[in-house]
Amino acid sequence: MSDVLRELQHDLAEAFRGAGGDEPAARRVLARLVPMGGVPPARSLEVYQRSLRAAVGQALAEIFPVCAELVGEDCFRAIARHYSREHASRHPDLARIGDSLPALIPQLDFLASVPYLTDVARLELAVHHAAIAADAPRVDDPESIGDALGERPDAWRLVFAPSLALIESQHPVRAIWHAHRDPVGGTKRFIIEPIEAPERLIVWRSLEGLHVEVLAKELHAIVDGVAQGVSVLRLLECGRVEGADADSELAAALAAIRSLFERSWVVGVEPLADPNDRKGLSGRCTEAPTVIEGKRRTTT
Amino acid sequence: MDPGKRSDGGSDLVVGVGLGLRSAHFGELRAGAGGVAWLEALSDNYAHAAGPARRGLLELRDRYPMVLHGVGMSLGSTDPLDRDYLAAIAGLAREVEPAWISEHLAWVSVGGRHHHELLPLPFIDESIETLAAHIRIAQDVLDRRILVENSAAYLAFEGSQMSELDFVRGVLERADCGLLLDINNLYVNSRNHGFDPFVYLDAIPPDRVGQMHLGGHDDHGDLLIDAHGSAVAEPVWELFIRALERCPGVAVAIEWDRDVPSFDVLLAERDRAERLIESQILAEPRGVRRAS
Repeated sequence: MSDVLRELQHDLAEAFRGAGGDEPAARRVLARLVPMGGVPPARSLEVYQRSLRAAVGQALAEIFPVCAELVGEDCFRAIARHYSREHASRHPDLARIGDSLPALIPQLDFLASVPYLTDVARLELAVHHAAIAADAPRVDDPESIGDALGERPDAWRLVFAPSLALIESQHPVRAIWHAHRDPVGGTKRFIIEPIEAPERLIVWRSLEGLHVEVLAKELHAIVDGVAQGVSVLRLLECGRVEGADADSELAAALAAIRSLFERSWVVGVEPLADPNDRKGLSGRCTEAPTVIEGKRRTTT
Repeated sequence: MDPGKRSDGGSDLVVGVGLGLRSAHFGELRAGAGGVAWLEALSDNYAHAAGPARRGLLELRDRYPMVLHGVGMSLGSTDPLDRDYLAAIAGLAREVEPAWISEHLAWVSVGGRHHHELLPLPFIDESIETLAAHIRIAQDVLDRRILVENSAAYLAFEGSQMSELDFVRGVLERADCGLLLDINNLYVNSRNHGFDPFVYLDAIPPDRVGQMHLGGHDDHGDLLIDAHGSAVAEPVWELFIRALERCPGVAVAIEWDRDVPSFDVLLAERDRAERLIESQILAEPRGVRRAS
């Protein structure tokens, strides 16, 4: 294959991504085009530039509808334009674009007045990924899982549902998202109460549908433990309640682990790579919580 | 057993006029509304999807004969074919068991970057070689002959050495593949590039034509755009009649992707196409009759 076609395609790709015909790639492309009927090459180039922008803009607006509503059509179009130029789409499925949008938002000066937009985008991305994630594998034999965990709790770790993601924010993003998704009385106006404590959200899909919930405080440590891939034995440590006696501590931890299965957050177990690694057995879970930065957390 | 009949008595035959499957019409299709003969599903919407989307497709597959139509294979790219993408299409095909799989005579990615737009190729030997090599690989991986669609193009390259007609014929021959003849694209290109679409139709090898597309375009005065957002235009219906004479018995799909209308509007387009097919059969007794 000669380099002629390859060079042409690279130039076309760069020119189509740009705006106008002044950039070097666009000038090289225009030099290789002839009028199409009565249509000059510059207009041909513009047709593709507009179409590419529209395709990316429409796909992003479908994945981030609340962000698009929050900033308005023109502003979101500007975001999409930046995204299209700066973040290459590496996947043939248009529904897979957008992973880098939450990271792009803080870089755009014109969005400084909406400090919560990044986190709303992260939430919308998590919701989108949850919607298209694989189904959770069916647990055919829950008793055998219980037996395995009972025998060697140090040798197994729990596995989150493919659709699950954790989001942490300093802003009430769930309320913002909810107000736009399900406006009460048809209005999307509401008052944002300032909050001091960070909001921790959990997003997942069950047979009933998509869920976005605030993660209860008492489950923070144990959910973080699962996200970190620690052993079930260590999770029992994570679930301990300060000041309780040993039996109560164990019962509380087991109840918390059971609730993860009941909520379909956890869908299975996996053997640990090194079951003899008993680090942390004597201590509490103290690592920083794992927070998903706009990426689906797939642990299968 | 009749190879076109399923054990439950349904038919897997893709004949007559089908519809491009769009999520807006899932409800009607699940309910069996309109007596739709078959569906054309967009492979890219399902190849990488899991969960409810894939289940929804397979649920419809239980009821309707289906074909797969893709835009992401990038057959005309100078990049190597994306083997992961091909594997995903092959996996989807194993589940859907489509009557056939189609793609486009275009490229959508280069340098590993996807543009999500069908981009044009200059009509030169090198483009034919690139396309033919990639089509052959795709046919090997998918273990079947595929159809490739004549795409709309909105620019003209200085270095093109042949007409679109010779270009398409060259690819079909060298890749030994079939053609998905898009009647609207043919009309759009004929208007934009200034050639006679009837001459094109008369010269296309009919035995290579495995399916046809009908769809709407946007008229910008100096330029037609294949937008799939409106009803089929009258001149396209006229071309379709000629195409039916050349390629009797070939299955036809109605495409409508943007501003998707109500199901009834889509069925009205389907009905018009069916009436034209019926009248063509009546006018040509030796034509290949549609299976009942």
